[in-house]
Amino acid sequence: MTLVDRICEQVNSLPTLPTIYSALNELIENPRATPEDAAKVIATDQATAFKILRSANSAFYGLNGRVDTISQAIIHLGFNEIKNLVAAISIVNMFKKNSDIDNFCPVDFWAHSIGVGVMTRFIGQVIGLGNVENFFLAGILHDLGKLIFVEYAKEEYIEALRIAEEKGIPLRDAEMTVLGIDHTFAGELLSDRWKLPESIKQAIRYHHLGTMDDKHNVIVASVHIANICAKLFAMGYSGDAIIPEPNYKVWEVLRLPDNVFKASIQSIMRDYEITVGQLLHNNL
Amino acid sequence: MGKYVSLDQIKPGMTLAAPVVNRYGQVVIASGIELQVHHIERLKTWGVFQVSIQSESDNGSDLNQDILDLAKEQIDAKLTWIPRNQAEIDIYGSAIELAAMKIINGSGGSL
Repeated sequence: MTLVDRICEQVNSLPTLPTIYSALNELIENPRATPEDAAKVIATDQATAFKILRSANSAFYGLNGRVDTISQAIIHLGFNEIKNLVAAISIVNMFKKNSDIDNFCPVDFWAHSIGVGVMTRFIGQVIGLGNVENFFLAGILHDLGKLIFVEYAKEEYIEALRIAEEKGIPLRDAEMTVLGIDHTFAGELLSDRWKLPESIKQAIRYHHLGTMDDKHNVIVASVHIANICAKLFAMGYSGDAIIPEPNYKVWEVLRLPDNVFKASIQSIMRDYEITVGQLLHNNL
Repeated sequence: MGKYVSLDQIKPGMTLAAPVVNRYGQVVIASGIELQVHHIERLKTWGVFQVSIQSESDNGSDLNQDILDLAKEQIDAKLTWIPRNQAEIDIYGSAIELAAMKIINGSGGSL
């Protein structure tokens, strides 16, 4: 069995996302479902329920301290945003316990990922999209494939990290050399396994390119820029020292206002630190 | 550089060191505005919990040039590309500003 086959097989044996995630998915499909129905589902997992309340009360949603119950959180944030929070909380938890290897530290990795989530959401808001719900999760999960490698091809991944560092080449190229696939492909496998929304899967697959087969894709473009920004702004560490050059076409897709980052950098960093605290630290 | 002050500490007459933007990135109160009672009331209804305020010794000008130069060196060392357009100058400049603040504050990326 080749290494790639082995990784594919192991992805298929990975645990699925917790049952509350699939239960929420079903509820969203049901037009008669009420926030109370979803609240009941979430209440079965107290640790997640607690984190959702804390997130709903964070500065980002502008509801500081005013959300006391899960059903209120759902009314204010919407089903889909709550579902995405459940996914983010479960996935961070699932992989948080990975031990450090060489120059790959899970806490720094998640800090980077959360930074990309925050930046992606910011970009979505700036370009005036009404629905930016999937942006945050797409950013958080963009490097998911790296976790598959750490988990199931540890020795090979240590080698890939070492080669990237020594030769000063992008980690993706080193992954291709050592493993035969890169983390965008491994991440796509896992997003299939977890039945993540199509837009998130595309962001995972194409975040390095910034465009999808030359089609304009705002979420892919946003994650592409967010990833570069998170590296520039020293949010965590992704295992890859190189800060890639933005794909020039992406700027034409996003059409960001002048100096939007400079004007908002302080509030972005606040949002980032609060979100890292909520998702990564002070865990129950 | 401004200092973040929580809304309950804000008093009329304080000057904004950074614009207040809504979640769509639109500026709702511009930087440099001297806050009046009605501004503060509005910030409360918007649910804003802190804003960036100019300190008294702060004339609103930029960080010390030496520190900015040092920060620029740090960022340049990590980059293999040069900013080509306004947006890239924006993210590059923001990165330098953050790095400069990190030099001043020791650790931590923000204020």
